Amino acid sequence: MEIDRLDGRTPNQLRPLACSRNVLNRAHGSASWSQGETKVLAAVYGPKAGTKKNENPEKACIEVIWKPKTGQIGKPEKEYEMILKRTLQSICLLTVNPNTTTSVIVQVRLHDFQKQCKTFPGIAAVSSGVLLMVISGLVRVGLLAVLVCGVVVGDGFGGWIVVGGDDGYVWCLVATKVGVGGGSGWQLTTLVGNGWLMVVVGGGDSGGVSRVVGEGGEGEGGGRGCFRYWEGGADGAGRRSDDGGAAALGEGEPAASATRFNVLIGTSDNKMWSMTMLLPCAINASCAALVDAGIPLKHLSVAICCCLAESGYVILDPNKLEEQKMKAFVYLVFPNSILSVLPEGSLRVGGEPMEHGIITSVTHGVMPVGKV
Amino acid sequence: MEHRLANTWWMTVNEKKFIETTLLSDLRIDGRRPFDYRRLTIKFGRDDGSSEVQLGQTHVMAFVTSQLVQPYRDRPNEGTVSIYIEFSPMADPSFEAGRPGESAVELGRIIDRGLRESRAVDMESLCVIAGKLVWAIRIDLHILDNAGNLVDAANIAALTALSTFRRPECTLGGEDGQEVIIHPPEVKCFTF
Repeated sequence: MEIDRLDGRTPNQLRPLACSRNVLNRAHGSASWSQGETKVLAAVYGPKAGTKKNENPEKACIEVIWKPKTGQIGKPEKEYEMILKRTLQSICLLTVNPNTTTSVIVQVRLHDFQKQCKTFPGIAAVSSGVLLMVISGLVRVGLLAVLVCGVVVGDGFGGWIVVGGDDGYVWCLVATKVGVGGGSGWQLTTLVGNGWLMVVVGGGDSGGVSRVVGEGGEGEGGGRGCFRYWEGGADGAGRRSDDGGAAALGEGEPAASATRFNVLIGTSDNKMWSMTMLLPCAINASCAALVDAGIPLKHLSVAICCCLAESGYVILDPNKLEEQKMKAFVYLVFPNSILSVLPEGSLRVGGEPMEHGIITSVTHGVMPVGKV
Repeated sequence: MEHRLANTWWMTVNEKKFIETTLLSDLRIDGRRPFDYRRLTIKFGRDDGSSEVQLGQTHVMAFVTSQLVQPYRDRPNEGTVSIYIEFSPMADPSFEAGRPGESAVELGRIIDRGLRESRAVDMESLCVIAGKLVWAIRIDLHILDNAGNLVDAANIAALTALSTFRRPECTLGGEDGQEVIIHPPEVKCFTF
């Protein structure tokens, strides 16, 4: 079951983490987060008076500015800004300071060392609050339950993930290969969640969204995903940002109730491929910087990245080399609220602890599957 | 307009008077004498060509990268050095994202002229094939924290980043002997 990683880590092992806050003098809040060789600095200024033109003045607004290490600001940076903005908007208490703007500026300091380097096990010096965030993230990503449903078959694509949900629960599924050779197939494993299941499998030449699995249906041919932004709507239907012509989600199935979640499906051709390790670090750094600035938050968030190796195993926290070799990876942002012994202390939704849920997920790549 | 006004820090008359009075007795508000420097710290990153300078509370980061381009017509055997400086909104609430303001452009020009006129970089060493391919060096300066004296801090950052930068080695190869092969940083070429 073991898979060899280049730097000697086990599949579930993260790179050494470090986080410090209050690193800047002028900024109201600042934090620096480094995970292995990826280092990100986040600064928060806020709340400032007034909101931008297209924003709702009844609520506070968050503005994100992403600064890359070198080069001009282009589409990938705008992408990151959008993802970060939506994630942070869902963890902040927007009604406390209406008609204000809080700016979050993220600066990339270092993005992974190209050469192979040995990392030492364990977690480096970290403030206790952040350590809890990471540990709880690990627990979430661990395989909690196994669910085998109609696996995706056919030549073409496979892959993963996400979505679905009921009353605020979101399923996250990882496709892992079961069996060998002719008898192999895909086993869909849940990471978190409850409620019914809807699987979105990326693939096809036209778009990232394909058929609902669960009926053991055939997958579509092709093998390359495209970039899509997809959001679950309050009315229950899954909608996509552009109309690629692929089938709408949830054919005949009730989709999520009033849950909003953000799903992005990307492709390996995208320039974002080599840069995506930055986003989990940036989300964690921004969250720490918001705490440092004293912005009112509902709960913290923790972001983690995991990818799917050739052999079908899931590994956590890939570094740049691993990321480039992997067929598919995802990163997930989970809420990280207070866990209290007293039942009133913890945040609950519908009687269950708030931990179960995903704020944002971004996926890249697809993988071919064999016949079951 | 209101945003910018709200973000600037207006000094009171008392504060201005205080600074002027203490300067008359050769003292500055943080206790320094008129010609005393703040503590300077220079750190280097793991990659070639990256440095981080801290002058007191002022924090500047510099990255140097290079790219092969065609040279200018009037200088066929010289490479180019260009400075990109952006006042990040991280450094000061009055800095705005987007187009660099006047002071950012001015600072960029100060550094550019300082490096160019002092001949700090040997332009001819950046030439690969005269008239066809030269190295264009790009220096990206990020201002992280503005606590005064950005000119000094940015200049030091640019210079130290250039000192740690290594121009990649190129050789001519390929089928027709005209193709330029760029070697990774570990390889050093010798010509006899």
